Amino acid sequence: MDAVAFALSFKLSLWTACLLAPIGVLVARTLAYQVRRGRAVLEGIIALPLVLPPTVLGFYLLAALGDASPLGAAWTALFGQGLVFSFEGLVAASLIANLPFAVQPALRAFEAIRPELREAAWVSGLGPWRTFWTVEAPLAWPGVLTGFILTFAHTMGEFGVVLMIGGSIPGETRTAALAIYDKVQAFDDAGAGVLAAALVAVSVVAIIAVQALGSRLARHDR
Amino acid sequence: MTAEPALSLSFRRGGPAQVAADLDLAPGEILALTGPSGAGKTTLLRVVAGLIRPGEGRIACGGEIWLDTAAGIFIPPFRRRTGLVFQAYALLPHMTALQNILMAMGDLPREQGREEAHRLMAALDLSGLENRKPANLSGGQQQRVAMARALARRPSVLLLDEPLSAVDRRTRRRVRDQLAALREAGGPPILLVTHDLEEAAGLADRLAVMEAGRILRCGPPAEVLADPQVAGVLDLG
Amino acid sequence: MSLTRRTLAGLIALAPTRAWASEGPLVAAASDLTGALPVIAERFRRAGGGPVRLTFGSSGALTRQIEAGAPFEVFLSAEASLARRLVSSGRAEGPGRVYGQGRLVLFARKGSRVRPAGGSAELVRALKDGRIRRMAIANPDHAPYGRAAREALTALGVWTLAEPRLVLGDSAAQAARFALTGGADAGLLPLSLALGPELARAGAYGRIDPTLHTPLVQTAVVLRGASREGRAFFDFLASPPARAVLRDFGLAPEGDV
Repeated sequence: MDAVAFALSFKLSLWTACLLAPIGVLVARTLAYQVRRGRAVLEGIIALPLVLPPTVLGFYLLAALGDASPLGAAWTALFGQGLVFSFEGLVAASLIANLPFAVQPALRAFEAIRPELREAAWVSGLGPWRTFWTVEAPLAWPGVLTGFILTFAHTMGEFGVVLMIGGSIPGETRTAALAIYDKVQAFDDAGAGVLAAALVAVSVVAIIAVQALGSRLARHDR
Repeated sequence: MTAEPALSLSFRRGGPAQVAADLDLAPGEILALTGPSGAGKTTLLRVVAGLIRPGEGRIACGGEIWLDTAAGIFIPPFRRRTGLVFQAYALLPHMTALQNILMAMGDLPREQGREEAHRLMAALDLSGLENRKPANLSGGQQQRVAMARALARRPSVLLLDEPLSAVDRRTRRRVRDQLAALREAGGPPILLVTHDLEEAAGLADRLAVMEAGRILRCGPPAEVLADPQVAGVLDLG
Repeated sequence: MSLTRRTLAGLIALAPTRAWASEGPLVAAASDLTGALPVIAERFRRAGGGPVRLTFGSSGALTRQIEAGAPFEVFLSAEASLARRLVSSGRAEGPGRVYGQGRLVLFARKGSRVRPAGGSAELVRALKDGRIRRMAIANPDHAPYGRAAREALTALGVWTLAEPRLVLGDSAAQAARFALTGGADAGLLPLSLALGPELARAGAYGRIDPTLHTPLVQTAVVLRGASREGRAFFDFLASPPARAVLRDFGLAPEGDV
């Protein structure tokens, strides 16, 4: 078992999911409660990574993060090494590629809260911040958690985007998915098989968790 | 009215469903608001609570200015001392009855708040139900918890959206008694939306009839109900 | 297998593998070295050189990655022009070192109706009489062995016949994979891969006349910013143990066969 590759996938997935959780909440909440016009357009833009082929996404990300771009050049100036072909570059790419996974379940969850409940909190003297913690968070957390798990599971299996942005550098950007690809090419079927089984196990656990959360969301008395 | 009104409101809300109103309420006065569906009754309550921001208007309550579009003043709902009982109660499903009531007492010290909450619950015949979640309360009980929550806010104005419909007789009596007690004690003015005209006539000091976004008539219930135009709007046969 | 043995096998599978190091200088290598380079790296380690991280791919793809800033330290290209390109752009230190010669073979699995020992002649015959319905080669756009395969097929006058039947591998190693697992009836592959245990066990090969394509001069370069360990590995490629491995895998430089 290529522990390094698996650990790298795990690390990438954890970073992406943890960073996207608050971003997802912020975006979802803003869309649910503060955007009136153009909402369909914004939702569509956020959903783009879902429908774009990974190579298209990777192509544009490469243009946006590579040495020739302002962001990439600034990064290299600051840290001495490029953003692409680095773990940090993978995280950046992953954040964009997984945005819909983090935002959509959270958005559904915030939308599902009856507006009256938030109004009841306001009328009882709770400002926006306290309303968030007292009303929104307790009712929407299954959706946020679903987003977290989906982001994690999806990142574990990410291939096209990682390959284009990160190459396949052992210990740095060769995630489990890429390692499987490399091992198959190197005729190491046993090694590929073990990694593949590990990824399947992660996916199964994730699906079960999401299902459980889904039924929990449905049970919530609205 | 010679004394300063406890609630003075005047607003105009434009858009597809226009609503306009001018009202002054004396301290402790109970004003019942009735009219066909869509007349704007709930909108009026929501404007007073601050949940709707009209394009033009002025609201003063309890000595504070809550809205003055001319001066650019708009106090958000969480800074107005309103008690609002929603038509569907809007109790937070993940919190117990006691927690729902305590939510409106955020500015009191913990112990004092708890005592007050228990007292309110007893007054509304809710003792023993402190730790129940709304899903385990009957409709009438939920309504009374919502009422307790509104009162817990020590409001400058109490707003009730159809509190007497769809509940059992016992609850209706409890609520009426509570409202009457508030008036006796010189409590806040009360705006009460209802379809039950008998109830309104028995309880309210004044009755206002709304239609198509404006107040048609406002005055003592007997007078208003005798008006033929009102009879037509309310379909009093 | 009993439950105990299966559990043990499972646990062993989970143990960390040695072959894929997680530290040490980053070396980019053409995929025809998939068999040979890990052996050389092992010898390097045993000689006190430390671990080396290997990344395989088509030489063209790796060159592009290096030009985009990939942090490799040594690059082993399957042909000279790509290495020269990196030297010209300043990414690599010239002039580099020729470490071997690439050779193209026709490969077919055991039991196939194609007799690869016949080399170029058999290739032409099998294409003409339809015994080869699908043939794997590396992608000519960015893999030197693919380019060489296309040149050979063109020189033999069968390119138009072969082209619709081609299965393109991302790299020479992937083309070998296709030829091995049945996606293709035959493949035009590096000799070094055909000599490797997986293909040698599963089929047979025959040489394609090297005059049919431009020579695959395997060139290694040190890349800008390489560490001491990286340079040490680069130097090791010229050492007798490394040369021996290269010879075993059929990569010995011209005139050294």
